[in-house]
Parts: sequence; structure tokens; C-alpha cells
Amino acid sequence: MKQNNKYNDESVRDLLGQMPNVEDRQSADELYKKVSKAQFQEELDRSKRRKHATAWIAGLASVSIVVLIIMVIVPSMKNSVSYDMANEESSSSEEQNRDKSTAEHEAKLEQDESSKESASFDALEEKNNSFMSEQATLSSHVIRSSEGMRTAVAAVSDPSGQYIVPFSFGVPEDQYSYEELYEAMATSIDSGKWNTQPYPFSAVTFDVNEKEKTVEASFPSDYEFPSSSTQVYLFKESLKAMFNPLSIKTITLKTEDQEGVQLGNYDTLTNIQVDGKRLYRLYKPQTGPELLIAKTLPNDSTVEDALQRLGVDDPDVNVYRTIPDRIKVQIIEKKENHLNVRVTSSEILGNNQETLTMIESILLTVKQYDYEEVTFHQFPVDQVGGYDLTRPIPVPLAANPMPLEIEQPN
Amino acid sequence: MDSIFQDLYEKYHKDVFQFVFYMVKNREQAEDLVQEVYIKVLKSYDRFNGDSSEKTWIFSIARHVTIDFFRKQKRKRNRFLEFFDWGEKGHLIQDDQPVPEEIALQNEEIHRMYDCLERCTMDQKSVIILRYIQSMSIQETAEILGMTVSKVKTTQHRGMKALQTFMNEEAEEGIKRETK
Repeated sequence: MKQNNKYNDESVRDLLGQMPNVEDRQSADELYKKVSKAQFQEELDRSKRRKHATAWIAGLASVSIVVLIIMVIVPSMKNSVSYDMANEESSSSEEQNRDKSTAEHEAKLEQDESSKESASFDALEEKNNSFMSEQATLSSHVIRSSEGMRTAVAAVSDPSGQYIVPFSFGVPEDQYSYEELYEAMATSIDSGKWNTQPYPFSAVTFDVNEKEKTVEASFPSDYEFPSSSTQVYLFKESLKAMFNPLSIKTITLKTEDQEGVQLGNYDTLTNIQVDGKRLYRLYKPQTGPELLIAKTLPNDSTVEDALQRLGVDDPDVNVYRTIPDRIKVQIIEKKENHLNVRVTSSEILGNNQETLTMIESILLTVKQYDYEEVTFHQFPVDQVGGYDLTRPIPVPLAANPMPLEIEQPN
Repeated sequence: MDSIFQDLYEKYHKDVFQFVFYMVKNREQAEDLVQEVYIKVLKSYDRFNGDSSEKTWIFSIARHVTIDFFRKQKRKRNRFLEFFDWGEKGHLIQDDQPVPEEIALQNEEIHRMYDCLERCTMDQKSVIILRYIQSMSIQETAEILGMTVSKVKTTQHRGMKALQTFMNEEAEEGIKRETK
């Protein structure tokens, strides 16, 4: 039957122009009162969450773990919390003096009892404060170490569905199980504020076997699995991105008590090998925190390819290069698990956020090629954030540490 | 009343409400969402650095708030599918919303257009509302939606084509119903 083509571009445009104004029936005063009340409530909720996130820290017996938690848990949300690199710096650069430093932190906690130790802590704090004045605005995007911590990574798609944003969460390993961690993680992800898709595995149970380097993922029977090939690919990549940082080799899949899951045209997929390589660039949405964002690379890609692609923007989806145009990063030597790179710049490189993000994205990316340490040669500055660039730098554990909402253990 | 709130309210409220309403098509919901828009705007007002105009900045926040609303609406704990198909189908949650009086009083063609807008993708709908209901320029639309100018043009073209098809289909259905 012939289609009735009554409407063309012009008539549709005319009609759209005639769409009526729909008015807000609340007055400016009413609205302002509601906004003020909601702001107040939000502030209350935030302070409650802060209490949850930090309450258990105070209960820990070991002060050295306290130091580690401060280093690891503090979120990299630039817009809401500025990661004070001074804390990290004071801890990491004084590794040889760790015992002394720990004693000084204990002194802070017990200062009412010991004025001598308190004075000692004050001296350390004064040193930190002077460093902070230069470093206060730098935000780290990585967890550098997992010592004493149980870490979990969530993988969530960006709004375009082309990239994966990893978030990492940590708890003291002697206080919480993986089950508790994954459960708390699922409710701590704020995809609205962080500009990502929702976390799709909140109903999934993960049983981590660190010794065997395996994970069993149990899906509920009514889980709606992806069916198209693109979605199946992203489903698998998301799970790989969650467990790759934890050195897991195999993810076994189950639906309730049955082996395997039904995905698209697969008969049944029973396991996923955590292979593949990813590079990490910067995700800068219009609102919300700046985050490192992962893109899967072809299996046959080289570390040289990956470093080159760190200099490419994808502005349509708010993904940006981490190696600026004026900077050249060249591999000069690969020695077992150690990578030597030379960094040259046509302009002065500063101890600033751009340089810190570049270093962390390079470290995370080369980790995908099994490098464990990187030495930056001819780097124009010796110190960037918490990194001493005159020495080999270990690759970090995971990207985008975020605050975890978790109750204090009984 | 806070002077920043008052100033923003006077300059943009009517248009922001209009945008949010046509996105979510529910007056009460739109009233709640504009509250959220102001909360976010006031919270980050100090950080507004003037890279874009104040107007496009506020509208981009309004757009994020509506997107967030749709996400929350469609979030079900155990669905993977939704994870990656947001751009295409995120808008399909809203259905059977009460039609506000301002629309109800209009002629049949306006009702039809109101319904057909809902059949466009989220991006198409956003572009069409901003461009043709709110008379924004292509540049402003691009800034608000975080798109390039060429992406706005493409989305606008496809959206208008889709609307023509939907409107013609609806008209055809109307004729069929009348001749039965």
C-alpha cells in the first residue's frame, strides 16, 4: 500500500515549533526550599557514608595498616576529594625508615600519653605540610600496592559502550572476606556520578581462589545474558578487566548450580581465560571525576603499539590521550620484566597532574605486557607526585581506587 | 533566597524545566529532576570555569540528570543487556505517562508528535527538543550534549527523518481506523 506522505521535514519542523510550553507549577520559593532541604540531607548522608568508610579504620590494631589504607583507599575523585599525594610520598619515599615512621604515627594516636612521641609526629607532619603546599592538587589514579589488603576491581562500561572503566576497592584482608568485599563493592558504585553504565554483575557471586588463580562466577538463574555478538564480547571483556589486575588466569562460569552460561550463539560457555591486553587513557566527562579508562588491544599488539596509542584522543566519547603531543616516550631497553624508557619533551615537564597521569597510564599499560618495573630515563624532573623518577618504579596494582561503603566488622 | 539561585532561576528555569519535561514526559518527575539540577548546579557553580556558556553548562547538567534518571529507572540488578544498549533503547521505559493539560488541550497532530518523539532514540530526541522546541543553535546543542557539531547535524537529520516516518505511519493508521 502506498504510504501517506503527509509529513515532510518542513511540516514536522512547524509542528515541533508549536509544541506548547509546559510550566513548572512550583514557585521559585518552593523550589528553593526543596533544593536547600535536599542539599542539607545530601550533606548529612555524605557525612554518614564517610563515617562508614572510615569507622573501621580506627578499629584496626596495626597502625602500619592504617597508613596503607590511607594510601590505598582514598578515592581519585578529583572533583570531590583531592588525593593528597603528600601522605603517599611521606610513606613511600621513606621506606627505609618505615619502622621509625610507623612509630611516629603511633605516637600521633597516643599523643595524649606521650608528649615526646607527639613532638616527633609533629615534626613529620610539618614536613608533610610543606610538601603538601606543592602537591595538594595532584590526584593519583592507581592503587600501588596490595600489601595487607584484599582488592576487588569492578568493570563498568562508559556511556558509549566502547570502553571499560575499572574501579578498584580495598579492605584489610584480615577483616573482610572476598564475599563481603564484592557485596559492598556492588552497592558502592555510583554510576550516575561517575558517568558510566550501571555495574552489571551485582547479582553475581564471585568465589576467588588466589592460590589457584581462578574465580568462580555464579549467575542467578534469571540473569538475562547478552545475546548479540557485540554484547557477548563486552560481557567477556568486562569480566577479564575485573580479574586481570588480580592475576587471575581463569574465570569459571556457572548458572545457579549448573556449569556454564548461555551466551548468544555459544552452546554453553563454561570458562573465560583472562588473556588480552588493555591500554589506559583518560576519561574526562563534562561532570564527575576524571578516570583512567581501558581499551582492549589486539592480542598481537606490542608494547610499542600500546605506548603510541596513549597519544591518541577519542573526544567524541570524552576519552583523551595521556601522553601529550609535545612528549615522546621511547623504549630503549627491555630486560626481562624491566622496561627502560626515555622521555623527551619539547617543553618543560612539570610535577603536575598531567605528568602524573601520564606516568600512571604508562605504568598500567606496560603491566599488560608483563613488565613489573619501569625506569624513566632523562625524565626532566626527579619527582612527580609520589613517584621518585630517579629509581625503577614498580607497576601499580589497579586503576581508579574508589571509596567503599562497608560496615565495620563485629 | 540565595542570589545565585535567584539569578539562575530567572534566566533559565523556564527553558530548563521545558527541556527536562519533554525528555521525561511527566510533570511531577520533571519537577523533582529540576531540583536535582539546581543542587548539582549550586554545588559546582564555583568550579564553572567559563569554557562553555553558563546556559549550555546548566543544560548539560540537566541532560545528565535526566539520563541518570532513565538509567535508574531501567536498572534491574540482573540484566546484562541494558549495560550496553543504553544509547538506543534507554528512552523506552517511559510509557503511559499522564498527558499534561497543556498538551491535552492541543490538536491531534500535536498529540501525535508528542507520542512520536518518544519513538526516536535518546540522542535524536535530545537534539530535536533542543533544536526545534527550544530553538537552540547547533553549536549550543553540541555543547550541551557533548557531541561534535557534525554529530549533532547527523543525529538531527536522522531524527527528523524518523519523525516524518513515524508521523506518516500514525496518520496512515488514523485513516485506516476512520475507514473501518
